[in-house]
Parts: sequence; C-alpha cells; structure tokens
Amino acid sequence: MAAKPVDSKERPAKADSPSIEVVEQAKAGDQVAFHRLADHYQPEIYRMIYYRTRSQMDAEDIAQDVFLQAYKNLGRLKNPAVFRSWLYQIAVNRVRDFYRKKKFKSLFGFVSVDEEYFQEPAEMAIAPEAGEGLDRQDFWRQIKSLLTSLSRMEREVFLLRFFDQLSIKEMSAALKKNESTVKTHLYRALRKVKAAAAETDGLLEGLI
Amino acid sequence: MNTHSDTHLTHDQHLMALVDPTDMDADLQAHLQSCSQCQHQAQQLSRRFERMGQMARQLASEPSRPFRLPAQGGRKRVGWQFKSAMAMGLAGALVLVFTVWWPQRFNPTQPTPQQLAQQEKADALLMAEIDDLVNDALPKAYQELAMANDTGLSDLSEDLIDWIVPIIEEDDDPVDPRA
Repeated sequence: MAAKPVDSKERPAKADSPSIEVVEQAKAGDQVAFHRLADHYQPEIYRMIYYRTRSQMDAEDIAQDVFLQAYKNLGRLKNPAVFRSWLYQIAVNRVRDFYRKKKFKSLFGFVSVDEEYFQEPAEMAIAPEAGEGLDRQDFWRQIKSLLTSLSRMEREVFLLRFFDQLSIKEMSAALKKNESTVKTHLYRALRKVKAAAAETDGLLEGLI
Repeated sequence: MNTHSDTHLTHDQHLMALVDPTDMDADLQAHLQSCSQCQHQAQQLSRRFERMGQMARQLASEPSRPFRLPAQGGRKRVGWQFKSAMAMGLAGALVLVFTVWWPQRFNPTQPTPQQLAQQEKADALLMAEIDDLVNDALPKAYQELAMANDTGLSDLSEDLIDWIVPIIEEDDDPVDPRA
C-alpha cells in the first residue's frame, strides 16, 4: 500500500495527532496502525534529521532506520502518551550514531568530517537550483554562523525547541535530561545566538 | 536582579522569559504581565525565533518515500533471519575446517617407493660430500701450501722462515727499568 505521508510543515494540532489507541494497536503488532503512526510522524522526524545532517539521502536512510527501530522496540514503550518524545529520542540517538561512525571512518581517511551540522550538502553543490537554491543556501549559512559557537547540547535543545517545536517536557524526555538542565542549556543557547546575531549586524532580525 | 516594578526587563530576563516565564521571580512575572512595552519586546523576541524555525521547515526537503515495514513483517522474524544466517555461516565454516584443513593437518600423505629410493640416493651423495670435507677441508690450492712435504718447504730460504716465524731466545728478556 503506497500511502502518502502527511504533508504538514507546521506542528499538527493535538486533535490531529494519532490517538493513544493507535499506539496501543501498533504495540500489539498491528502493522496498519504502525503505518498510520509512521505516516503522521515521518515528515517531522525526517526534517529533524535533515536539520542535523543537511543531506537528503542521509536523512532518508536514518529516518527509515528510526521507524524500523521504533517498530522493533515499541513493545518496550510503557506510556503510549509519550510516543512522540520517544520517537525523537530514537532519532537523536541515531543522528549521534551517524556522526560517530562518520568520525570513526574519517580517522582512516574514508570520509572527511569538517563540521557537524549545517554542512553544505553534496547534492546542492552539484546542482544548485537558481533563486530558491541560493535563498536556501544563504539561510543555512546564516543559521550555521549563529549556531557555530554553541555546544553540542545547546545546539540540540535550540533545534528541538525552535525548529522541531518540542516543549520543554518533550525535550526532557527525548534527551533523557531533567527539565532544569534542558532549560539551562536553552537559556545559554539563546544568549549565544543573540550575541552572534548582534555581532553580524542584526543577522537575527534579517532572518524574519 | 531587577525586581522594581518601574524598571523594565533586561535582555537576559527576556531570554529567561522566553525559556520559561514561570521560572522568573513573581515580581518580574507580574511586571511582564502588566507592562505593555515588555510584553511587546517579549513577543517580538519569541516571534523572531519562531520565524527562524518556520523558515527552516519551509526550506527543508520532504521525504521521497513513505516508510513501510519490510515484506517479511514481524519484529521477531527480522531477528530470526539474522540468527539463521549466522548459524548457516558458522556451519559452513565448520564443514570447511573438518573436510579440508583437519585431514591435511593430521594425515600427511605417505611417500611412494620411488620417492623413497631417490631420497636415499640423495642422502648417500650428501654423506660423501661431508666425508670429503672432513678429510680435506681446504681447497686444493691451499692443500699444497699446507702439506708437510719437504719439496714445498725447502723452497723457502732460512732467512724468510726466520722472518715469518722468528725464534724466541731466552736471552731476549725485556730491559730492566731499574738498570
């Protein structure tokens, strides 16, 4: 069955999210129910990974792996209500594993690792589209300059909060950190981003 | 920390409000709720960051294909396939060990009678060479020099022999330093 993923750029309203019953059915082994969950969450999980890898191909592969892992381990999810946070937790770990493997390969010269996050994707370098491609490149370049001074955790909470639109509670569950720690990292991230924006002549204002 | 109701929120306090306004002091929360200027600043700040995220979502690509579970389905079967492949590989390796490597290692091939005869002949030749070396260690040219026959040594003069091998006499004692 070739189901079309839900195309929603914005965070879906709570009424549109799959119900807890669907999660329970998927837990019981109902593949149709799991496909419903995948169709609903795949776009945002894909985007979440894309923000961090900046590669369409890698984002596709990692996203597929995330949902496969979710299906295999869904029986361990005790509280179906936190399915979304749990899914993001898997995705965060998978992205981290992706960069670990990349770094390991770079030690042997198989891959060159310049910098994590917001690298210029190869596909864009090969065939950048005029107009829209330039705007996209410019945007990601500006984002990169804003986030370059952040630590790994600060960058992660910033992206989860403003790009992936997770609440503090959801971030705490996804990162397995207490809410106080998450807030501290987010506050520091905001300070650094604001400072970086001020140094580049109102870069932050220019983004809106 | 600024808690005076007439003083507006500082830059850092606006950031704290953006993270979680309930974490701020009660006075600051009250000021934020009552001051239109601070409210406007807080909303503007929040809007800028939200806008950043919105642009990221608009500019991000979409997945090219929906996720579908493998045709074999089932969580258990995925693991079962991996384990069966491992078991088959291990079995194949064991078969190779016991059919190819093991016999060669413990059952070397026996030589044929012809090979034995050739080996004996080679051994005899080797022993003959060794005997020759023991009896006449030096090459022929050196053997003539080393031979203790009068013909050879008599050609050398007495003076030459004395020079080569001088006779040490008892009178040739070292000089007494006390003298």
